[in-house]
Amino acid sequence: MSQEIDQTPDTEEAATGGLASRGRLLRGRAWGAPVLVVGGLLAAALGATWLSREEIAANLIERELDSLGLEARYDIVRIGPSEQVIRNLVIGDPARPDLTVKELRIATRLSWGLPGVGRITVVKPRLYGSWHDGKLSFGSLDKAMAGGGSAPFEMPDYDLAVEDGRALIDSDHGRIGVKLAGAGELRDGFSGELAALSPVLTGGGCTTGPATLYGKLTTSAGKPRFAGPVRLASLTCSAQDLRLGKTAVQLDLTLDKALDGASGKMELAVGAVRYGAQKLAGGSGSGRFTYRDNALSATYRIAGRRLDTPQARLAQVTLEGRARSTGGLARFDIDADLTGREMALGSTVDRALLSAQQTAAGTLGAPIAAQVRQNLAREMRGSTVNASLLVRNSGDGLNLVVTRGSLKGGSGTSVLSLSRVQALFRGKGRAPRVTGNFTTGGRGLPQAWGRMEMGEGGRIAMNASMADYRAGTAMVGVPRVAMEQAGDGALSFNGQVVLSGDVPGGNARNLLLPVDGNWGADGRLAVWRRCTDVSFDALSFSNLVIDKRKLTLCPARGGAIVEGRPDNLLLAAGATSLDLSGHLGETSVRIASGPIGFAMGGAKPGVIKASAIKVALGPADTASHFTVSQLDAQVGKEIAGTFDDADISLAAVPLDMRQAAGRWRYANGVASIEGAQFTLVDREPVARFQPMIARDATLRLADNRITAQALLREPASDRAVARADIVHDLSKADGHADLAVDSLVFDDKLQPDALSRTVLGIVSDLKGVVRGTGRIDWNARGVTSRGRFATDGVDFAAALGPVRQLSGNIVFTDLLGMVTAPNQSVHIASMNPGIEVTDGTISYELRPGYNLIVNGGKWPFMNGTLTLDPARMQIGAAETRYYTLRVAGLDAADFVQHLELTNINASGVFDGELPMIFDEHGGRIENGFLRSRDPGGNVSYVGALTYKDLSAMGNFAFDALKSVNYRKMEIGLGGSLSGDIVTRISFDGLSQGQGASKNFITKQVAKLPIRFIVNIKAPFFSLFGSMRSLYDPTYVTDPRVLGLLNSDGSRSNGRPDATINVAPPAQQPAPAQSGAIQPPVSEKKP
Amino acid sequence: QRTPEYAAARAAGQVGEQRDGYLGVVSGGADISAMVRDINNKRRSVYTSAAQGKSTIEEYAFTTGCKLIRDTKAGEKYQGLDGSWKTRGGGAPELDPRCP
Amino acid sequence: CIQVAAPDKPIVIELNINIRQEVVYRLAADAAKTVEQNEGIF
Repeated sequence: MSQEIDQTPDTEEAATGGLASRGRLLRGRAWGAPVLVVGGLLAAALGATWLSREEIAANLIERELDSLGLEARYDIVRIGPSEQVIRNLVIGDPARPDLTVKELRIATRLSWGLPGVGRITVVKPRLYGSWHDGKLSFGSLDKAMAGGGSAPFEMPDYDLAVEDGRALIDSDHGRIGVKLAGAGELRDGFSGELAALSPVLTGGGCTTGPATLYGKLTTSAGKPRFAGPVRLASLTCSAQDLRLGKTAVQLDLTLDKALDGASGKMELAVGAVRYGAQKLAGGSGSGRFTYRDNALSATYRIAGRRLDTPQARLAQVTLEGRARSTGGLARFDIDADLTGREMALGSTVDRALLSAQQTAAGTLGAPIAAQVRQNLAREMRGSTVNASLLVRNSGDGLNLVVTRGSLKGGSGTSVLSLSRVQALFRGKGRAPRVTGNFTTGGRGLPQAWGRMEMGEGGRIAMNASMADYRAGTAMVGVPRVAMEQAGDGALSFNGQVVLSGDVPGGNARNLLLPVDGNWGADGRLAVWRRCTDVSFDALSFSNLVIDKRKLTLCPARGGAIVEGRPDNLLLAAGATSLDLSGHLGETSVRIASGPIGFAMGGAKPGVIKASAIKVALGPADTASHFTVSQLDAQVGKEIAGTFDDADISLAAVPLDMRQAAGRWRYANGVASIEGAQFTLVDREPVARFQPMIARDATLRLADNRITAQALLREPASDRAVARADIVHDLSKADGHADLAVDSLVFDDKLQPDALSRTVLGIVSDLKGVVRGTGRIDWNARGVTSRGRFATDGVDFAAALGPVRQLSGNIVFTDLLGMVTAPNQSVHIASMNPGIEVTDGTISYELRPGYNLIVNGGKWPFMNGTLTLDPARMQIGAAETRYYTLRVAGLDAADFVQHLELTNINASGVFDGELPMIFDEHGGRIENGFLRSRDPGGNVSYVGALTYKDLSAMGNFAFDALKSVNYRKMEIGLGGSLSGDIVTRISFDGLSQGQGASKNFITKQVAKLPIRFIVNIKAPFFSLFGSMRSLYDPTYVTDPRVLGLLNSDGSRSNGRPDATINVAPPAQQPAPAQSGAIQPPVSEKKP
Repeated sequence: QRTPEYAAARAAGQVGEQRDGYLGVVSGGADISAMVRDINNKRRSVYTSAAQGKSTIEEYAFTTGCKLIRDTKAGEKYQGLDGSWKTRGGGAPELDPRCP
Repeated sequence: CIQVAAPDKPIVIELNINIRQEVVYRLAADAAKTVEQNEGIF
């Protein structure tokens, strides 16, 4: 008696007891006529055996047990011809029996005369077995099992009835309790109820919840068949992170006769399934399978509800197909048609798109990712998936083939379709090899297609392309990209990408970017190893737009433009030169540069270094030029850096900035410069002012408007000259500059010619403070400037002699051209062209070309006034200038008093004219005259005569003339102001003045019409000096001081007194020694 | 002391001492004449204040001129009696008889 | 007594006064001092 136990671990051992194999020996084959003879014999034998049935039975069982080597104990109850009953059969160790049977009834029947075994009824059998590491053993019954020869196993031919049969299998997977009840011909017609129960089964890292199996066990034609539900409360495999909810399998299994094969069908209903990140709400399925010769072939149809994988969620998924396996499950292949409904993108895909959208914020990537995400979500609603898959577990790994697969969006168009996709999974840790074609589409989704091929040596080549995909103004397209994966997983790629839309810091239109590089197996990425031509239709940064251009960007030597690990990318690119054109707002701009380099990456902000930059802003003929020889910048949230040795010349502004350097910053559309130093230079060929320097100047460029502030200093003295506030509109090329001169001090460290060469020779040794404001306006039509300057008092030396405390203010209508408004006035405390005149006011006007128009001047003079007639003078020119001074109301008494001639008295009021001529030699009067007003006046000498040796005649004349009244006096003047004046005084209507000694002669003479003419030719100045010395010894300077006498009073070794009388040449003084009058010299006190 | 431009102009003989005590332009462009005008302004201002109470400005200037011509170095220019420019040689310069 | 008839034409008495000072010699030292004090412009 042997029973082949089916190897499949999960089928319980059928509890038919050890006797099943016994019947197989008695069956014979019936053959025609001889059968009758044999039949008769059989009948006789039968009768004989009936009598000895007890022994037969006894020894039948006995013999059987002995032959099985089973040690059994049992009580025979009854051995009858038709039934043998034994009770309390115990097989195995009585303490731990392997099998106990409460009652065993064997009905015997005659078949062909031989005593055959009829129905065997086993009542309450209790079988104890164990199943360890794959070996099922029933203790001592195992020996019985070993039977069975080479012939294919067949069900034992018994008619068996089991009542309340129970078995307990203790296996390393858990304890299984089995109950069996049923009856019938084992080979054909057995029918019973089989139930198995196990609280927990463990195995292969999985544990189940309570599992039950319950169903009808029938056999027909030698094949046992079990049909009934198998229920599993739960199945948890921590190793594979698999958890199965409540599972019920409606099994209908038919085993082969030899139990070495089976076939059947099953209905499956599964509760919640969780496998790793994949979840299934519930599933049902059905399948038919046959398992024979170690080969399984099955067809199945599984429907799952709410499959949820990180990648995608499917409301419904059905898998239908066939599965075949050979060699157990070692090699199997499953083909399946998968259909899914209501696919929704898994959270990972959505999260990936969302994070792409966030990281690409501010660039074209954001709207594109957002639109893809939104359209994808819409397409997913009502989407259907169908694919035909083939999973083959061949020798070297799991091979998944998707012969055809497509995901149709809600709109009906295909979102993703795969064809001839093959993926080879070679086990843990090795990248899967995927080959095949894919196309993507769908309403509002990128249309892309690609092919992947398995190259030789395990290399995979893929090339794909994507049609331009637009989202608003953003666009991305991949005309072509080819990727190749080497055996070790290193990926190299090259292709072309075209982009439009916002890029960090700006916007690009149709930026065509060839992409080539590789992604090493070690995770290092390197893109653009060689110089790459980048072209774009337009590239704009806030309001700077660069026109269509092709640029060649090169990596730093040996490296790639972009390299590093994906989380720490370094970018370093350079160009040997730039030649761009475009627009800044509405203004055209051309940018050219020498080598320029840009690097960024890691934690540090990006760095730009550029040299020899030339920017021309505006139309060619009126362009503003910026040339910068060194520029560098750090690119972080904002762009900031320094520039050096730059020249800036704004077209409409007549001033240029040279050698500018400083710090600059560019943030949200505003470019600003701080701490700038530069030299301001007048662009006119004949510079109207000398270069001035500025430090810490600031400039700001926003919306096409430049505003700048600078404190301009004179370089040598470093003295602040003027604060400039400049505003310039680049697009309209107009603007203005406000100049403020707070208090500009002129002294020996700063002279006006240091500010403007044009003043050299006009104003020298200027001392004093000047303040004022200026305004220069410029636009396309030209430059206008105006200003208002003032001084409370400056001293300077001019061609016509030193000037003291000139004060007043001057309003310029053209500051740069030095043109003033009409009748400006200035007050001059003192001016000394030879004769000091004080407290003058001059009204003047400066006309274009440094043309000075003197409207007039007025000086109080000797109680009268000196007025200057209008005159014209070309500043800076060496020319002869003609002026006319008018004298009005000169009071002789005041005149004498002014000159402190205490011993002379004079009266009378004079008017006159002094025509003067000024040239580079100085000023001189030509035929000037003073005329006394009626009724004339008196000149008298009131001092005591101190010189005794005056001749008699002299005395007489002196006495007579001591006091002279005149009715009319006319003084003629001529000669150099700073030299000798020839004075011709003529008195008319003379009479002796009061106090003059009168005598007969003088009375007579008084009546005579005498015109008394005195020609005095002497230094106008010293004329008075010498008269005074006549009577005032203190008025004489100590000769020693003059160096004429040595300190000891001896005559100095100066040339001896000599009398030379030389007629004075026009400008030479002609001092000559003459006259006996002791040369008087004195310090004149004003 | 003298500004570099002035010293250079003297050494180069572009300017010379006139008998009237002022500087004269021998040869040279606008810059030289502007510089000479500036120097003469300063000399006139010095003469004006120095001559106060002593002499006329011209006399003071003339006297100083004599000294300046006497002090010219070899190669420098000075104005001769006939008004023309002379180059100072090794010996004494040609002086106005009236010089002290 | 003597009557002097007043001629119709005025009697012109012309008196030339040439006031000369011998100045130059006295100024030489002073001039030297001035040059020394303002060597920048001499």
